[in-house]
Amino acid sequence: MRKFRSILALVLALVMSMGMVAFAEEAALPSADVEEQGYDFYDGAVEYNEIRESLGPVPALDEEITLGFTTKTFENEFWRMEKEGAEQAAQMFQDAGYNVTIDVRGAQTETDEEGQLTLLLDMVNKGYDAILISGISAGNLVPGMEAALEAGIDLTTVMDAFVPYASTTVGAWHYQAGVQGAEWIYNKIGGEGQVACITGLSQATAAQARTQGFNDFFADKEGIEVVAVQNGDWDRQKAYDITQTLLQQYPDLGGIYCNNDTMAMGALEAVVAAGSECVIVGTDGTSEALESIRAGELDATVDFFPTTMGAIGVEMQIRKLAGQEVPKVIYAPQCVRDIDNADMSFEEIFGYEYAPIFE
Amino acid sequence: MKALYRKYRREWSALLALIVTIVLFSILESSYLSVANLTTIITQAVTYGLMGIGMTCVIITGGIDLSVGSALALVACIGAQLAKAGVPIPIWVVVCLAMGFVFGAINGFLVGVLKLQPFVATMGTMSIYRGVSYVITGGFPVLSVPRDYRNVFNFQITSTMTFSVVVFLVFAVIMTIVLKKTKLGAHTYAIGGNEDAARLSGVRVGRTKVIMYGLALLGTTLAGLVQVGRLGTGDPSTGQGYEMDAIAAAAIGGTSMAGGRGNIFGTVIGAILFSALKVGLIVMGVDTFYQYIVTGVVVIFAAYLEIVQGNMMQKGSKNEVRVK
Repeated sequence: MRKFRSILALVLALVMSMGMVAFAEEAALPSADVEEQGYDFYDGAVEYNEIRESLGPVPALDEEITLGFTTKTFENEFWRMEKEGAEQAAQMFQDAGYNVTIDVRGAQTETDEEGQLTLLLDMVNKGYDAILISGISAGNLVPGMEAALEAGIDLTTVMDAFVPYASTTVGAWHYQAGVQGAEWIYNKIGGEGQVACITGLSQATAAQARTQGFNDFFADKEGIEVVAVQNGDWDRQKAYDITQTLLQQYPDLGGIYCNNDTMAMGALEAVVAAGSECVIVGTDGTSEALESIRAGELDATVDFFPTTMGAIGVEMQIRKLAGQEVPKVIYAPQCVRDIDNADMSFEEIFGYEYAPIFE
Repeated sequence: MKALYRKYRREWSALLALIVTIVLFSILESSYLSVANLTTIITQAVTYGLMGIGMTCVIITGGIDLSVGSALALVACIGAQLAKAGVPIPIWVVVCLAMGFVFGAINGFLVGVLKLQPFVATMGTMSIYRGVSYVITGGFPVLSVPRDYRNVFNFQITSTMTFSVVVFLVFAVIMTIVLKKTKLGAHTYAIGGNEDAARLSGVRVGRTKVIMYGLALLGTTLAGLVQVGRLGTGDPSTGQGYEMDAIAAAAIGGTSMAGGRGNIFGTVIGAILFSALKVGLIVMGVDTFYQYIVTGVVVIFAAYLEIVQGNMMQKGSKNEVRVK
């Protein structure tokens, strides 16, 4: 019995010391406070559109810098566009006389967590001046991010997953996207009727925030009944099946908000097959969704403009390297695209063409 | 009747689980048992059902085919591209099916002739088929497939049921005949039961596997073409993880993972059970997190029913011996 007690004490002591170590490390992480409040709800967060002019010109760099960008898989159009944006921004800086090179590499698949870590570690070992990251999960890049911080390499998260290791996160405001999608449906169906939401992988924080935005928007709308919130696993076929079932159960369903465009396109086909009037709103702004909107099929999507987002990520990283302080959370421009603005350019929608301002 | 029951007891237990599921959902939610809802259940069972039928054939040989999800995407992408290129419909159907057969036969060749472990071989082709889908599409979904092609396997019969259900059932019947009434089918069971014994008694194991894996992938091919019909899109990222659902449909339907035992009827029931569950949980508005748990419980419950029944059968036969 005594032996048992002493073992117990030892275990307890170990657990406590581990807990303290973990606590001590977290407190030192650049964005620990953002993690505490939640990325989508951080009180120091700003929208790029609001700070665009007050940021001032990018300070000059007196040395040559190399940036890395570890993205998710290029199987996904979204990350190809992020890559394109980051490379375009680097080109703009080069043209303006900054000595910047960028190395953008993506994980092999959506679930290639180990492979992505290998990419990041390689960039750390090569001693890049700063690295932009888009982790597949909140956890898979931790060893690489720790190594980066130890080596004094600054990190910026682009889009997701949010991690406290990066000093800045440039990404979509997922919660707001859910609100925007819900609001569009609300206005379209005249403020009353039944609505539903098809979510992405349940454990994905982006999906949760988007869904929460959707739910919160409708929470105080008396004419609206949220009849279902179902997981479609980001999958076209599954979204189709769910929509088919929902239309069966609720023939008068007024609108469905989907956490991404792939699911929205699946849901749309089910709506067409059922001959329903239900409106479908997606998220991401993929080229497929925009084409469908232009063709008068899909109703709307919340567009995150990934090309511009990637470019802003690069700009913020260069500002930091040049010694400027930038906010910890910057929401990139996003808006609802429907038949009225699907053909408009970024400039026509927001009133400016993205380009960093140089000294 | 008793003999029939004994012969198909594994399938009966799947059917029992299906009936229990439907009755339970109907008690909990009265609208569940509407005709329209039941046709929705069957329509949604088509994808996993078609893939599960193929999977059953492969599992009976003592193998497994992990490549079906990727093969579905590849077939859907090529099918969509050919349709957009305007290939005449009869040729389109034949080419797509032939292609599917070849993808399966490649698996069969690796397993049957080169003697690779089925798990490893099809894990390899899973990656290859997925890669080829991305390469030929450049990673973009192939959009707006013409309506004529979409209607081939998926025209609307009623507002909730499409022709895909007929495709599903016809394929089930054909494969049942292949397994039960042909030499190829007999050889398939023989190989799964004891490969060495089958070889010694003159079964050409390699050739049988090549053909069987090829035929099996026809199920996935049809599922891919149904999906093109349904969604009007060939999506290179589709089908991820579908192999597990196909295996689950076969397993619930009483197919032995060790090979040599199983039949199509059970798998069809298994797929419908899966679909009944999915639709039921949505109709009930069950929270997504709990859906995973419920699905797992039902899979285990269906498997357990089988064991209980097996034990009862054994006791029964012992008693008979005593009486004699």
